[in-house]
Amino acid sequence: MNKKNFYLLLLTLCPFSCTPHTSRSAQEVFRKWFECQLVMPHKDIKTTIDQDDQTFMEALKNTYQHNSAHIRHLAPLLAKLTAHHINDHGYTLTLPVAPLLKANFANLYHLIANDMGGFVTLLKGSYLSNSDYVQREAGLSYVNNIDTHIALMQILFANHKKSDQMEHLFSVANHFFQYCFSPATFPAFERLLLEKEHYPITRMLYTTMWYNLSSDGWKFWHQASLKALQQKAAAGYRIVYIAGGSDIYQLLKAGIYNVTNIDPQLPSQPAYYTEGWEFLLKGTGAYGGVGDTITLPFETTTITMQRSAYKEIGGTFKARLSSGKTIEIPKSLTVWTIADSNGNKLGEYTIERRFCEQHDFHAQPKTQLLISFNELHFVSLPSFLNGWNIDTTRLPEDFSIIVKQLAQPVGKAILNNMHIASILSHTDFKYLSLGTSIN
Amino acid sequence: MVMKQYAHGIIVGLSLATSTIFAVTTKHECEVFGKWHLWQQVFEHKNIAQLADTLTDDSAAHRIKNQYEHYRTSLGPVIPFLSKLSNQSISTSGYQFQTPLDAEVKNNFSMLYHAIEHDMPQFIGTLALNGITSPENQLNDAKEPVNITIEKYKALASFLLMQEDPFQASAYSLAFANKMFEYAYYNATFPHYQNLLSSHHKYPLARFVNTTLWYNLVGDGWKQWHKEALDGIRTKAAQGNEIVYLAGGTDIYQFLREGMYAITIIDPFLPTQAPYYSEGWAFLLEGENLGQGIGDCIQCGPDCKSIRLQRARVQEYDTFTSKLSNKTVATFKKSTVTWDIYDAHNKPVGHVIIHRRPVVQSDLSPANNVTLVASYDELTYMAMPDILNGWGIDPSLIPATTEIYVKQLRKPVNRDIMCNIRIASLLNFTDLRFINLASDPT
Repeated sequence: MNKKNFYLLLLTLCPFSCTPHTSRSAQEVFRKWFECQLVMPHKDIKTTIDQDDQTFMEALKNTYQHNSAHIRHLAPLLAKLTAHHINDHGYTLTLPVAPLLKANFANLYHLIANDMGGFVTLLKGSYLSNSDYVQREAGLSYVNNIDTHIALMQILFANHKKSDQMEHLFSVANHFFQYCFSPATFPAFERLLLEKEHYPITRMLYTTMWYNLSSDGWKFWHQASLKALQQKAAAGYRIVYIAGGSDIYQLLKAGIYNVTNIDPQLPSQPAYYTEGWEFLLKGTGAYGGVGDTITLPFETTTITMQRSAYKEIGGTFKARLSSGKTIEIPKSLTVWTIADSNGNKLGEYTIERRFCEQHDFHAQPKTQLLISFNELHFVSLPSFLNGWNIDTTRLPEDFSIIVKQLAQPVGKAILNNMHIASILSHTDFKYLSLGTSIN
Repeated sequence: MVMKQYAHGIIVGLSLATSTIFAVTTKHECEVFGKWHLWQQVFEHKNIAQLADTLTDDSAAHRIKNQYEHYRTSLGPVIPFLSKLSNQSISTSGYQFQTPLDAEVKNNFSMLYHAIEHDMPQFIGTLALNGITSPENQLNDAKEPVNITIEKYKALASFLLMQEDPFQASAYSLAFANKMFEYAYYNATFPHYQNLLSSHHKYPLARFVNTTLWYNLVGDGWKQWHKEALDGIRTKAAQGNEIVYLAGGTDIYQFLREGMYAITIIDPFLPTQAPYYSEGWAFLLEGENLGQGIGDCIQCGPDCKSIRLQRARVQEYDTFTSKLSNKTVATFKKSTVTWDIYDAHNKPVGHVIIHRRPVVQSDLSPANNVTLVASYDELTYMAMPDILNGWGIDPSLIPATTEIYVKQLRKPVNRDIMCNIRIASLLNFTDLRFINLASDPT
């Protein structure tokens, strides 16, 4: 061993013997994820109709009452869909349920699940495309339009179990996403972004995706995406989580232990981080808290994370905070070694504190990219729309990224279509951005 | 009746008075439309697939050789493609063509011609598979100035079409550009073209398409008419339709020559665009003497059936401002000038009405008896969004039934096509960043 290596070894060993380490429980570091994260199963949206009549009517009544202030101007649409249980004068949401109401709702669910093109065609013939309504909606503030379309979907998927409704709407948002950005149906959606007479439909699609995948859905995982990640991990792949914040808990719980997280960890974003995000990044002890531990008891096993390295890797990056202030942050690397209850190493969680760059999207062998929907949107944006300077046109043809909230991975074509949609949204549609702040 | 005659008498009297008080000017059509005589051409459509038939004669090898020699300085970076196309007759070390052409060369060219005519995505795919998207050509595109890249792709198109006669070369180039336009902007194949604009490694193909469109429909093609466009407009005129030429400048000579006499022009007549107008453009708008030029005449020759245009009315309105190509903003007075048209026997046969103002959205929602016409360059500005200096027209608001005849295109365009141009212009701006789709390419 030469002299240099000897000193390095000394530096590495020293923290364990010379400085106090911090041990934290999973609750202390990841409490927010315990409280708000859900793993959404694939939900057959047609099952909404399976509620018994009384339960369904009760749910519809409660949901309508709760949302009526936002949706009164859509009474003609609801009147038609509900066989006049809801109408211009109010509502009569009592039994018996008109068979037509259930048939209409069942048809909507069927179309969303199996024929989104048919669903859009149906809406083109509905009150949503009535010229007076189109004009009226164009005159509303975008906040009012968001409220309207959230309310509409809440009513269409009224459910006595709130969790079921959330799962259904999460699935609906997935169906909408596939329709909007898949190559087969993108040309039709692209036209919706230009044609003013269909903007209420486009707003409904955008609002539903934004609310369920980004605004409220930013914290949720799709069961299918977790499963796909598990399969990759089992096949020996390292998961590279682009802009993953401190969102590691579900991965560890799912038995995924080799993860690299590339994220600037901006101090202005704690709303999206767990309370222990700073601790995950760097400890207060010597050498950035090397030796610190986190214990995570799961149902069948307990694992331990131990900080095995922290170093500032040279250079800084500038970050503009949401406050408008620009700060300079040193680039750093944090490594947590993950071990089972017997101390056997299971894997490593690495945090690269920096902005993601173009090369990060050109996957290395045996790596699988992962991202959350909100961040996917920023990856797709062109620079002039405050995107992250990722050139989607340069991605390899076999590019594939698993998205936390989506049932299916996203390929280059879909990302390109999101890119195009963001441009048309800026020049023509001018509604909300699919990736925006926390609800 | 008596009153009517009396009123008519007053109008005649006033007209006579006007013409006696203010001198009128009479110009020959050459003084007003001379540039059109010299520059404008009308091309029949050409079936590109039929070019395969010309490969069978003995001169084919000579033509290929001549064309290659003519364009070879620009074609260096695409030699790998040309080498495959010519069955190694062209290579980096030189060229040598057999006479007669060998069967494989004929077959390769024939296949390309067939694909251009019937299956443009296949044509594009063939270029991609045979070297146009090679890293070497990508690098060449990236490092060379844009005008060199334009020349390369112009040369490639010209070489493929292999026309030695300049008129035939222009005719085939226009036909090729028409096929390319239909590929790029028709709904059926727009996603394919859009994919070229969204895939960095396919950018040489996108540059080839955009160069072909720009050069043949704008750069060189701005002055050319497609015969089928003229035929279509003539048919509409014969049905009694008013021909409304959006941003048509002084480009009415072809209509007059074809005997179309119900013409409206809507154009701001920006002075910076004078190179694209006939020399008498200012005379068309206003007289040279006092009195608004009422009574001024343009006398046409036998090519134009010896008709006479006489300025009958001039109305002035409020002003409009326009950003000129020299970046200044200027203010102009809106006006309407009506020229009555008389035949050789002095019988009134129609009119040319010139509205001096920019085109507005409502102009693209015409009445049933109106046929819209535009030139390709101006069509592009109508489709482009404001951020690209478009004209504030929203193509999605154009009625689905509206058709616009485009001077250079064999088939009219509609709202769908204009929406696709709008999308492509944005991707050109944000991603491809090659030449402008209209006007000056750089």
